[in-house]
Amino acid sequence: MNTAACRALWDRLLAAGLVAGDVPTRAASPWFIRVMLGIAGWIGALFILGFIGAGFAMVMRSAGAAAVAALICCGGAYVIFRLASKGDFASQFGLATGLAGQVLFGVAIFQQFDSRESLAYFLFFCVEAVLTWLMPNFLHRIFTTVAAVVALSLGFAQAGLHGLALPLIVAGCALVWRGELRLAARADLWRPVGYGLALGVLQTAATPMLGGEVLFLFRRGGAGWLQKYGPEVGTLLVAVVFLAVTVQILRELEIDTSSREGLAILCCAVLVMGVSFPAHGLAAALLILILGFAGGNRVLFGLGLLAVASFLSHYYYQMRETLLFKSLILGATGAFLLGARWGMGRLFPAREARRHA
Amino acid sequence: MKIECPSCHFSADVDAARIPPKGANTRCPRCATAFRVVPDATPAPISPTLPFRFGHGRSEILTWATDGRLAVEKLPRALRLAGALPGPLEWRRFLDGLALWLGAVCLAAAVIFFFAYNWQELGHFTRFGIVELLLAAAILASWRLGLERIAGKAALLVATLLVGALLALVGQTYQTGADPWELFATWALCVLPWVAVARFAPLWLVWLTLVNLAVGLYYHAFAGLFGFLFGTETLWWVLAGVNTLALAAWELAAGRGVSWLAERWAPRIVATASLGYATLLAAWTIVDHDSVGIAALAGYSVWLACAYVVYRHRIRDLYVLALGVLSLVIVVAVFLGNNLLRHGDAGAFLFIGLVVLGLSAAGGWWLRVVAREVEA
Repeated sequence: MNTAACRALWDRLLAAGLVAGDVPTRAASPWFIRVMLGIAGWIGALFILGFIGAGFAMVMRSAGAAAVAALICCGGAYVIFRLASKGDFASQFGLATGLAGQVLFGVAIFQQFDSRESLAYFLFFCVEAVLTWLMPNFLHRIFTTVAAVVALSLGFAQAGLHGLALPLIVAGCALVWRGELRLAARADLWRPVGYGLALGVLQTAATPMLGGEVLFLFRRGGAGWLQKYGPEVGTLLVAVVFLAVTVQILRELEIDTSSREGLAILCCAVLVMGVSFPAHGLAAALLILILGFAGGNRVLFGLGLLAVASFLSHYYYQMRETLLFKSLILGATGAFLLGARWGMGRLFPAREARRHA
Repeated sequence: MKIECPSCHFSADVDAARIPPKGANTRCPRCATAFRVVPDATPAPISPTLPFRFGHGRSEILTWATDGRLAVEKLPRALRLAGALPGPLEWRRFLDGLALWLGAVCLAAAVIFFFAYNWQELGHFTRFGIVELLLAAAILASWRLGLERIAGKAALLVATLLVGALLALVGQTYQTGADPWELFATWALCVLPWVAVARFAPLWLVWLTLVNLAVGLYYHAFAGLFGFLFGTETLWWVLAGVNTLALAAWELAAGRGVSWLAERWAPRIVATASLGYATLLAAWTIVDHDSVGIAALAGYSVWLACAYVVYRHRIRDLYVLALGVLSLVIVVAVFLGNNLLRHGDAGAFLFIGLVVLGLSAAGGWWLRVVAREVEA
């Protein structure tokens, strides 16, 4: 938004009595600059890790030494982030040091515990969650949230509960983004967490590259009911979150859920969830798209588009069902969506056109 | 009396006397949205809220709230006043588009999955019959609906994807022995005429993806045979060249006022691919000791210099400038790593890390300065 448009918007809010004083000036930082800084910080962290590994080899071999080094790195990053007048370089250095600290925490945990135990992943999840809470940096919080989500997914998969982490991540994502305005006082914490959770959904639902599916296929015939039907239960819970978000948006738009229009929209949502049910992950990807549009958030909307596109390309290689079955599911979903569009257009024509006499 | 479609804002003059007093339902000839028209020509009251523009003003208002210049409890009202949140009309348009595009893509993917399954019980005649009928139906639908409507464009996208299914079926049935690159190259060639007439940016992106796949698979197939001639470096050269040409053509056409190319997201995707391949080329040249390298590094530098001139001074797109900064950081890191890390020296790791962080911090600072200039 240019300066003139920004001033016009401020004047509008001023006229409505929502703000007071002169229009504030603040350095603009579009999302792609943040992404660039995040990726560069991550590359820098790799070299800092290399420095620690090459200069202090015992750190990578001992859980205790790795934990101490991780605490020093994260503590240093915390101090840098808290500096009152930090420059761009200090922020980048803090980010890279903090990311190196995260990896060292991982080294410490997996040196101490067997990587086949889910406990190790849950411990790593707890560390990442605490770091997310403590570290006052937008990019660092996104990285720690994504790491926490990945650790949670792997922890559930190692415990044989494949597919059950997804509804938790989706519910967290929906709570953060639908409650964005209520959580605005702590936007510095919740906004990066929201983006991290959305990236987590993208990773878990749309591009599962972590071998969780392979683990699931190995264990499907084994243990109990929940382990066997984890993906189905997970998708059902995601559908519940999807419907809850739909109801909340309808209320926000002042559409009564018991009205004809409200019921039709709810029925469509239920049927889409039902028809696409065997396509585990599609509902979660769609939800990101809807959350992005509902909040007028173009970055989240873009992540949603990426999630849906990634899901469709990944679905081809999903090993759980045959291509014929997947073809039937996609065909039914596509036909239903087009049919619903046609039907809704006829049942509920737009009430009024804009008129220019 | 002039009426305007609430969905696509297409407007037309109609005779007010032909509209019944109670009003009537009508359908937009461009986007097919059904809406109600009433003869009352009383002008609507001026809305205190701005019309919805996706993302417009959102980050500014949230920043003001974070900085304490706007009370948190007043945020919802401020966002509505700014037109940053969608209303019922925008939701309707969004869901309409979502159902159309997702439905179309799901149907096309279903057909591709179906033929990839290679159902043996189904005879050749039936298989060809199904895909050809669907293809004909998609083309017919696109023609009947018209390419100026989004439903017509969606039908054309389905047809484009179905051509791939048909070509794959030919290869599957007759065991033509064709390489995968030939499938994608033929696919791109077959759909080029209707991509050219569709005036639809996403369809050009699909076409460019097909070309990229064909080129990549071609070099994958022949790299072993003529490794010295068609090696990895040549592949990056060709892919960077193809995408840069596409980007240049896109920007030139958009600069000459071609309205359907005006949106920035599509050339940004092409720029990402183009600079991505140029970066890979430069990095590959640095680490590959057999390579001569000068030409590749010169080509990469020319790309960056041209991008600087075009996107800093002419088009002013910070996204591409940010990509350039990131690419430079990566190439410098690869160069230093290749020359300093041969002995695994800890100091070298730290030095390179600091250079990467310093360059990115300086790049971030510079981009913010440019952003302020652009905003002013």
